[in-house]
Amino acid sequence: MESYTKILDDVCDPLTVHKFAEMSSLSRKDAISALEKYVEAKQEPVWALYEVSGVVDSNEYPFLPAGEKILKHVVVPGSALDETKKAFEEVISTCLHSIQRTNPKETRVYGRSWADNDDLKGKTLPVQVKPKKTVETPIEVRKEKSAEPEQKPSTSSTSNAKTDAKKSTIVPLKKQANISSMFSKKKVAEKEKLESPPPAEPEKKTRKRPKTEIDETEEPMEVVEEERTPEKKTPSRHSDDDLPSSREQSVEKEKSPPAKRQKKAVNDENKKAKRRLIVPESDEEEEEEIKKPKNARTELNKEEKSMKPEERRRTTRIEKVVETYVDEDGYLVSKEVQKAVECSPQKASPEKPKAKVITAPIPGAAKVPKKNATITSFFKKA
Amino acid sequence: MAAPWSNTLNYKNVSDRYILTEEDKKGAFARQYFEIYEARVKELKPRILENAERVIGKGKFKHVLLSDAKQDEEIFITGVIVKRVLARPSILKSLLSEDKVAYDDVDDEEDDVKRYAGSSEDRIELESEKQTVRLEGAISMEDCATGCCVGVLGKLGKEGVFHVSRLVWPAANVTKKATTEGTLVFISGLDLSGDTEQDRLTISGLEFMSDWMNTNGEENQCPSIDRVVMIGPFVETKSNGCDVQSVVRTLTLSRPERQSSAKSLITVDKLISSISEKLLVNTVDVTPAVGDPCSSMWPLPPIHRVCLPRCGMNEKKVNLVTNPYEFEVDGLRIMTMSGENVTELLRTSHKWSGADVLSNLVKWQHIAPNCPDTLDAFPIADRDPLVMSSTPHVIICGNQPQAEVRRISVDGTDTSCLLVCLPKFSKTRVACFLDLSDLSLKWQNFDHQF
Repeated sequence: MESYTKILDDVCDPLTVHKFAEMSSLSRKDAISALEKYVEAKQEPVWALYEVSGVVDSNEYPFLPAGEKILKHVVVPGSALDETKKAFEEVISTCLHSIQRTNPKETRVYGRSWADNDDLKGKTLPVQVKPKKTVETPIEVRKEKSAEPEQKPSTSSTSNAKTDAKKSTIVPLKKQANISSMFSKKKVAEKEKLESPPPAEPEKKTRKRPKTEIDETEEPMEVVEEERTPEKKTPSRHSDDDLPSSREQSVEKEKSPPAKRQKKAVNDENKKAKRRLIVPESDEEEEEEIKKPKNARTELNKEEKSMKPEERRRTTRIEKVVETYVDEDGYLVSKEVQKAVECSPQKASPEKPKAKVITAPIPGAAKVPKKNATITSFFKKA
Repeated sequence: MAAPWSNTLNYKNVSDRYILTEEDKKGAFARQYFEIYEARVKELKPRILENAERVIGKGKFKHVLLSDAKQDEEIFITGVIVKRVLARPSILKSLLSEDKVAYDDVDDEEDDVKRYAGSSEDRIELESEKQTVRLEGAISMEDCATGCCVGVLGKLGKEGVFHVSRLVWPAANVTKKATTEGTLVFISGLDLSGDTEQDRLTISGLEFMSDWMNTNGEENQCPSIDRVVMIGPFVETKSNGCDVQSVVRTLTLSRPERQSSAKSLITVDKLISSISEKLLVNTVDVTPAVGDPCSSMWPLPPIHRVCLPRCGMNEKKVNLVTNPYEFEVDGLRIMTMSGENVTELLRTSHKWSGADVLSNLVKWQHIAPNCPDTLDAFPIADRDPLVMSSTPHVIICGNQPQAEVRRISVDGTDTSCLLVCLPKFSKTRVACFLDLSDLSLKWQNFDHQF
């Protein structure tokens, strides 16, 4: 008993008979008797909760039919034991349930952390017997994954080209300095187009402004951007001679909706402003980085130049795309918007279509949404 | 030293028909629901005719198609019942009328199920292979439900109304009841939200019950429990509800998001695994309900073991099963269901109670005739898994507002069926202990406020 008193003296939180029996390797009867003796010896400030089991009438339970008997098990403090027993038609058993040093109303006997996976650390689910198909998928996934980085550089460069192309459709006024180079490139492009045989060229020439100007601005803009990057370092190179004429600006404005253009201009300006901020910090690294996309772009330009002029003209097209976004007021808004979408240049080149990579979700690697904890976050924790 | 685990009763899981096969899933996205009804009629029509021969007499009725029926000639036709209830809520109606919330919010504190208001314009129709006809006569709204397969003896009237003289339901197949000894425990509706304060009483009650199951002796009076069947929903379904209000809110983006599902699932996993480790408990069967982390289309598949990893590690003692769940112990066939089918059927009548619906299901020989009308069902083509191929000896239905017990005799047989409606544990802290020797029930309440 003395050894148990040492254990029990340290008890503050609720200790059930079951836990005490496990800790002290006693039977339930012996554990109950030991605890009862301890409670009698200490009296206050030890709180004892008793478990009363008995038969009760269904009057207390509206969900039960009248006259039905129910076996009730209730846990009450020692002070309320006698009153509780009177409510039973027949008391079957009374025994000690748990002891604690804190007020039972302020603590929980079964209080423990329920919503965490600490006990699962280091444990894994046993392997289930699965069909062969599931075994092959990780290898295929790996192969596809290994294939992905090979594609990435080209796609990234093309995507950069595309994004740059998109940005280049609306030229802000501040970047007028670079548009002068567009005139020289146009002449080169026009020469190349004159060399091509189709008779529709004059029509195209006449119609170039609403359509082809968008196409044509891509090519020179790519080159212009290559020239821009060194110009960023030396802004003094910008001169008034590079300012575009008002005609070109007005034509560009007529093509696309004004609201969007403003936004894009703002976005472009912000992005370009960010670029300018980055430049003075680490010039050498950027030079290398600039060279790499330059090379990629020059390669692309070569490829595009080697293509037929018709195919070059058809690299982009205006498509109506439905954009959905959440408004300031929280409304989901969907708008039909005209966007310049590049036709895949891969159509000209004999490339295989990209295989759709369906990767099996890896447990623990799923993205967890920041706002709401979903079942995927549960996998991540495990 | 802990005794090695073993079941005391011979157990057999007979829920194979509720598991979706690859053939069922193939092409399911493009499948329409009429194929379920066709399969249902195909399976139940021979049993209706068999029962008609027993009830009416062999050769004493003329079975024809409705399209071949002649006026004022007594014929026997078969088909599917359609109950036209005007007050029945419709998602399309509420969306067309631009009512984001067309109906009053369902008060979860109320025990009673909200029932559709009756109208004098409500009517019953019978859809046969090619035609639909209105039924009148010896049939009332309380006799049937939409989706029931029935045989009708009567005459086709002048106004295109079929006057019913007798209804014939499918014949029941019942296996011989075996006598055995043992105790099974049934619990339904934990509804854990993941918030410890909100779930305090439920967790305390369940832990108290599992502690009580861990001791044996005269003082305790806890018998040796062969199986504890835990019926869902285990997680709170307020945010995952499939009722009309929840669906309308989802479609109109006005449903608030809840964060409780992951924490509540961990809590459920811990509670179930702790019960399974008790000395007096042999096995715990976990059957899901609508709102639990599994498909919400009936029949519900088992919860994946990845969602309950502790239970998954304890495969021998924790059995993840389907809903409905059917099993045999020493020849005694028991079926459990989560109760959405019964709750939806209760809405269509002001007179039915849970036990009335269960006895109707035995009569109609179908677990959920309102699938897929008011209860989401998986579009299966060649079969209807919810047809009662064999009538069980015990049917346990969880999540009911009232606790009920009823014994009914199965029509056309000498056997009886015990029907039990189980209330939610989250509201009542009541578990049902079934003594298999005499099929007697004990309701036990575990009240732990501390």
